[in-house]
Amino acid sequence: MDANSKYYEGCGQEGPIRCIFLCEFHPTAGPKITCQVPENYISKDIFDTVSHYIIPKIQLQRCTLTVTLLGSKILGFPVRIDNKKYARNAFYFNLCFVCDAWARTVHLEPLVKKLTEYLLSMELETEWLSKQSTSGDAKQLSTLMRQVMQDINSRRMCTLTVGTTTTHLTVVRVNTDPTPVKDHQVPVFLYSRHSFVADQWDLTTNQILPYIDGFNHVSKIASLTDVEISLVRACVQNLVYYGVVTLVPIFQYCAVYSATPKLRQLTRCAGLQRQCVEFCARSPRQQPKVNDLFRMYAGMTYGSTVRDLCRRLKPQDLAINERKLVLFGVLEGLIRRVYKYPITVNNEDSSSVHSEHSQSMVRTYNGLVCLDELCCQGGLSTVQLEEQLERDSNVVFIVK
Amino acid sequence: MFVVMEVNPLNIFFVKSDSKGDRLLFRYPYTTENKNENTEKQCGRHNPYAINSTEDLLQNPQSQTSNICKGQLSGFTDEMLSTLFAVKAELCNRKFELKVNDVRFVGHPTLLPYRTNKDDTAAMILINIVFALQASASHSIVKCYYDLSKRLGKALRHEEKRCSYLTEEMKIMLAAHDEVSALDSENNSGENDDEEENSRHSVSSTTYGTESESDCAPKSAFHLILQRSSLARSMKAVFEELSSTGIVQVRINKWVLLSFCLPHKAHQIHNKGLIIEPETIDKCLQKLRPYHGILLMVDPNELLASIPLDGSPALLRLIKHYSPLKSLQTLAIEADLTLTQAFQLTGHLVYWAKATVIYPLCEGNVYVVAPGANIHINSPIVHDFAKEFPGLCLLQMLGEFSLPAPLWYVRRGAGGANLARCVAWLLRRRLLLQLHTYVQLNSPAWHCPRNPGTDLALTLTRGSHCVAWLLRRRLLLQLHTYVQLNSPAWHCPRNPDGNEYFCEKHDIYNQSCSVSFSSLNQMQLNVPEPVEARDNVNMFPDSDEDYPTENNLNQTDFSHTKPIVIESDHTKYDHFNEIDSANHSFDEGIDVVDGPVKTNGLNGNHDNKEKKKNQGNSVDSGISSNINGTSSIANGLNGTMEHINSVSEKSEDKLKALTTSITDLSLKENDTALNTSSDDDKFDLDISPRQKRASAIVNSDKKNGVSLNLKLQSEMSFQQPTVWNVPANCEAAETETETGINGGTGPGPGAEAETEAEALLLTFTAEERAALAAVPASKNPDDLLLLAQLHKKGYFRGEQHLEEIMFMENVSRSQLMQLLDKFKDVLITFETEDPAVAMLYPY
Repeated sequence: MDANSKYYEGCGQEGPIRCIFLCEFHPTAGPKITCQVPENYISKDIFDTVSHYIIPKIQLQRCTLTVTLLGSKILGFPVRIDNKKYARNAFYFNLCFVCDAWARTVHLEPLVKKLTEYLLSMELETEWLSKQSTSGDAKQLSTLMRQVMQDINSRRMCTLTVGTTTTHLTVVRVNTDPTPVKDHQVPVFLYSRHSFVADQWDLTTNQILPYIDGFNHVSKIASLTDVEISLVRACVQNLVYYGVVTLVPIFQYCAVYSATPKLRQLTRCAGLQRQCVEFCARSPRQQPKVNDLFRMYAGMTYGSTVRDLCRRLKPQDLAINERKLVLFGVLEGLIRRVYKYPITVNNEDSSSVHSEHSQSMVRTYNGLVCLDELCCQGGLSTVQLEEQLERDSNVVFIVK
Repeated sequence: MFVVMEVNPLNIFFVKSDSKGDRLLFRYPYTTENKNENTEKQCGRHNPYAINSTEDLLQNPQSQTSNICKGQLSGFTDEMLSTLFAVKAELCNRKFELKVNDVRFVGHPTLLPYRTNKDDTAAMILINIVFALQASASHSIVKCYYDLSKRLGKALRHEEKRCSYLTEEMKIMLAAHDEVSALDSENNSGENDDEEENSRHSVSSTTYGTESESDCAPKSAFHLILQRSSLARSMKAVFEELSSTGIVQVRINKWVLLSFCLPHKAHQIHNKGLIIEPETIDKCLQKLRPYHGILLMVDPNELLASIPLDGSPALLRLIKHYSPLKSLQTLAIEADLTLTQAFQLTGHLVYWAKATVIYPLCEGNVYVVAPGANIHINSPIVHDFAKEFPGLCLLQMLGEFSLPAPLWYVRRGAGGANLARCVAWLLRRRLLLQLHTYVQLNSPAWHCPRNPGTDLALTLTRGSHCVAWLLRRRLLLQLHTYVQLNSPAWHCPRNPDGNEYFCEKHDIYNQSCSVSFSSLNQMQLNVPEPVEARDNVNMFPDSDEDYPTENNLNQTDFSHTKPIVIESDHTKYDHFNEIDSANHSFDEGIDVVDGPVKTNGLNGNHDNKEKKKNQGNSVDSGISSNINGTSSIANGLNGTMEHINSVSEKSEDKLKALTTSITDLSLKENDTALNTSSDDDKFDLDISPRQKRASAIVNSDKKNGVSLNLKLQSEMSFQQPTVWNVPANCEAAETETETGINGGTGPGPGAEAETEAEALLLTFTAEERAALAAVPASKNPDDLLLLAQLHKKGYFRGEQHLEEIMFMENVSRSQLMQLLDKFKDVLITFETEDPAVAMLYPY
């Protein structure tokens, strides 16, 4: 047992590949490991206990199998080739990755599959695998596996060349699908734009990239770049998936924010303070004080808008850029946006009596769409919309 | 929606493996998929425009990527599964986890001896109860299912040992399988040939059109088993209860009760989409404080009825005394439990989705709509609310909570009489979230760790010999304070200071609550410092007292029935009769029942000093006693602690003025106890520092109460949040010693306060003091003193909300608000949720 308590089962962290082995079903000896890198990581005993998950019955061929046993996790993709030329008329093999039991391995599954298919095609073409296994000299194979292990562990990508064929392997982080991007949301880079390799991305993404500055919302980006808005949404969603950008609420002076329990970290964590001061400064020459920044954040609560706060504390005198202050707070989770949701209360008794103004455009608000989104849809300013809604006595606001 | 689904099990399997081979004895649900669908599935999704070229060798056939079809498991035959689940003996009695495509199987293979029919020799059989889950299910869900499998295995092992239950049930199952396969082979002879291979593999699970043909066609073996075997029915019940409520209550063989809760699922009964993992509950429990309360999600009577007969009586008591208005501490006292027990029971209730943690309901609470509240015009909650509270509209109600206003204010607008019920209802559904006000001292030097040395050097300004002496002492004390608590967490980046801080406290609480005090932690804190103090102080001629160090070493178990007598240590202090106010502060909160019993003479019973020390059970009791060289006078009466509750008339006047208006329900009784502190049969929870000081100065009219019992005593000590009480109190004592007045009249209150405040001011840094001096309110020594004391106790670090300060320090809300208002230039307040409570909210 490792004393390292950081790594426990279910910690959700990725771990290195500990071992790669290729096993096959030997016509006489049954399941056996043909080649293993590093040698003897999986002992004969362990292999025998788990072999029927590694060389499984026919129904489980071509399934991604992960078995967690005896402190390690074995990933495999068993394959069978039916051909008369093999003894027993079939060649079974499985290339397995071994990781620690605590490690997350979902991201390796496509890798195992692709590598197996690469080996499979080489076997079909040149009997690359079966030749090595019958001759007992698996040097080529072990070189290949060693390269995969080293490259994937260190660089997360790997290019394999055997003879004239080449294949590329890369680890792609597996994330859940990001929620659909809405027009009023603002994409913001999570790390410096300079470290962003633009030529890896498609043309549309490259077109919208310069306009992602943390303040332009999606529909504004669309109009600025003259790109169809659904394409912008799709691009942004893609960027969100890869963790390049994240979405924050649009900055408005009438917006309300609330401090979170995380805010107190600003009084403790020197690193956070430094970042905050640098980020929120109006100009690089004059840096604001942490206290003033904290005071600004602390003033954010239900019922007090950014405008009120600015009137009260005068951030321009304190060398604070309030837009950046809010952006930083949201990104670091020091504050969160408090949205206002209009919702129509259907009072049967008093319905449609008061609404002489909105006869034509009686609209029910279902409480799922916040004011920002409505403004964005209708092309109205928040003040206009609020005025309009205030007149409708059936609409109440839920602030959350 | 997806997240909600992955909690449910896909299937439950029961596999045995013995000398006769392995067999899938039972599975539920057992209706297999339509074959057409199956084949379609295996081909994967087709692009209608793609050319289907079969000749391309390199384009490998599409491999199967999903084994879930319409929420059911597909693509596995029973034989295949039984070979997979019948593990080798080496893998028995440990976790079995296998993931195939997007299905995860988890189980606990159990090896158990059983009797075969022929001879009575015991053979080993392996059983494995396996759950199939979606692979995306989180690890903590998988862990819970593993636990359930393990428990089922254990229950079966027990029943097999007791009455061969497993053997009997397996016999039934095997017979049913044989019966069906015999029937099947007859039928099969007339059937289609190309289906033969398939049906050979999955004969038992094929139902041949479950609904339409079920009357005429041979039934599935599993169907028969379900009718005949009670074990199969139990497994079905397990599966169905898991899918519906997440709470399993199954009696295996009408004997072994299996209670299991899948919290991820159970919490969704009350709040759809709310996933609470056991780990979250653990974390919440760590942060639980005595002032938190619980809010039951179900009717208390129903809950009482649902608790099995052998349920813990402590739990029953707790539920009987339950009220959302009570803090856990009050509950614990009323239910006669220790606070730790109350915490544990709370954790238990939260785990089983029977309760949630709240701050007790009271009129001063500020609620807003929770950010995760899932409210829309058609949500069923709206109708539920209308049903529960006729005439009220949920949406309008929530609209009332748009601005952070205390509940008494909201009451004017809406709700009226049953607002409390209404709020409780909304809290149960996690629609409301309470905001607390936190206070942070606006320190100019946040990012540089404080340097106590330089700080103090600046303050050594007074020329007078005696004051210098005092300052020196203070200096020492302050250093200790830094070393003990301030330093560990002040400037550790990346580490949310709060957590560590709380954890540490929690530990101390636990120590003080558990009866033994031999913990190293405390010893370390206690022992070395007094020695240092004594050395220093002894240099001064007017310090004629000795400083006992032994006291601290005697951190013995205080559950002795007789007072510990260590004569040699104490006889020399006979001429001291001051009350150790530091200790005093840890003694309050004793449930005093007997009222004033007797007054201690000047030469009190020093035998009991040891008792007193232990009672203090916190770090500073040791420090203060050593530095002061004074000990409290305490009488141990048959193992009960004596509580000194002396209050001077003078200070009380002052205090009354400050604690007149009481808004907070939860503190009402404490406050009344304070104001009328002469009658002792109220809960005297926590005396304000001011009063403590006063009691130290003038202790002519002491009234002693006898505490109710030891248990209460130990848990009362819980409420003391910090160990920074010392300097204030011992300062008073020191001044007293210095002036040579033993228990007589102290110096005038003004002067006293001044020196004391000065001492307390040392806890501020120089910059902070400069800022403080600019505030007009700092001219008032009382205000300044209170501020300094609260600061010293660490309340102005944004960690504790106002309610906590009120609870711990027994100051009223208005008093606190006034103070905050007076010092608003140096204090920053912010409103946010209590992390311990917010943890159980979905977002």
